[in-house]
Amino acid sequence: VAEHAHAPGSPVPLEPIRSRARRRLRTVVRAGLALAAVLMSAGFVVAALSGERLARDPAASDVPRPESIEWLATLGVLVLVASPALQVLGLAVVWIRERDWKYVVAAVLVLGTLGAAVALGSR
Amino acid sequence: MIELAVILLIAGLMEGSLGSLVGVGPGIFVVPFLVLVLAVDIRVAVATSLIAVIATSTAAMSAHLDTGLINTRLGMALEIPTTLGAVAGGLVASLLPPAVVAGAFGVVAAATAVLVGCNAEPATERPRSGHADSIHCWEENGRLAGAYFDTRTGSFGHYEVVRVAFGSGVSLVAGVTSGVLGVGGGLLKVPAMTLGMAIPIKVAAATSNFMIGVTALASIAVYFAKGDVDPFLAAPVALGVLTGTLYGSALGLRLSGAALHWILACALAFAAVEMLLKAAG
Repeated sequence: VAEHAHAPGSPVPLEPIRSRARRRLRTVVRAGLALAAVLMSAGFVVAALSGERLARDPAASDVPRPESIEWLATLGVLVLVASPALQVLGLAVVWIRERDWKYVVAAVLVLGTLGAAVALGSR
Repeated sequence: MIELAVILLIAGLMEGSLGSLVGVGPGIFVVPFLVLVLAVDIRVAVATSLIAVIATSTAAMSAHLDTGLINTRLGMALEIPTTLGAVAGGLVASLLPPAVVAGAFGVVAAATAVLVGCNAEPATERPRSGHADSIHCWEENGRLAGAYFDTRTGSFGHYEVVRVAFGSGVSLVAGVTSGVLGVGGGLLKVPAMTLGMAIPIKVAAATSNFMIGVTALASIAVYFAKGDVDPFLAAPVALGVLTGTLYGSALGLRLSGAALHWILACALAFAAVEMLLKAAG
């Protein structure tokens, strides 16, 4: 629901009209993006640093091997990959709040197709 | 390891900036770079490219969700035929000779490049005034229409989408091409939206950036299942693309529609050459 109402025919505002639901969706998308970036960066930096230390001192048993922290970078990639589905789901919620049922159905159809694609691809 | 990461990060930065400017995604640049320059296996390169596409899409969504440039209703409407096409393309990929599909795509991309270049200053780019009371969060509720604020011209633009059936048909073809070749979504849809559906190029590019991530998600599962995703390759590329997309999205707001049309025409020509070379073996 638009938060800033304007009388018919009034000058168009230069600031965007934002709904609370869209602002929340934007926050969730940005949080997911930041989490993915932090995980991918951390995974890669730790792997690179541990690799260097291992090269200098192969006997150092307390230094994690790159393979052992690969999950960190993989987790970051997985969080990133999940974000489009989250966006579609978030938009479905936005349209439910806006009572725009046609596009709620469209979002559900896209989510269903994505689910089928993931299921087929994983076989 | 660090040197390779820096190279991938810088490459991702440039590819993300270019791809996000006109909504075609970084795929057309990532795959040739990884295969030809770094001698990466083609399947690993395509998987990395799909992750880069998702990074572009998510960053663009984050940047543009409340600027009015992404028409999420239009994106969702066109995403139905696109994802169906992508799934169908993935299923028939083994039946269709990739060289034939690449050749057909190359010819279409070349023709579209000429068409986009010849229509570099479409009438739809000139914004006209709209009425705030008819606009709901920069999209009209229940309709494929909307408005956006053009920061370059300092004016408010209103547009109405036409020929939705045509756009859906092109989206289906784009989905099939994406499922078979791993590229094609934005390259076909952005020209279709600007030339065929009367959508301003800035809105078309931003909406396409939103859509390409969803389409890429439909294709990525098979690469994960077969172990083709290399996180130490994908992570630096994705991080570079994320940063590049944020820059490209901001730059796109400042460029004129005509400049964006020419950049799109060049990207199409690049993809056409790439696909025709692939078809020629």
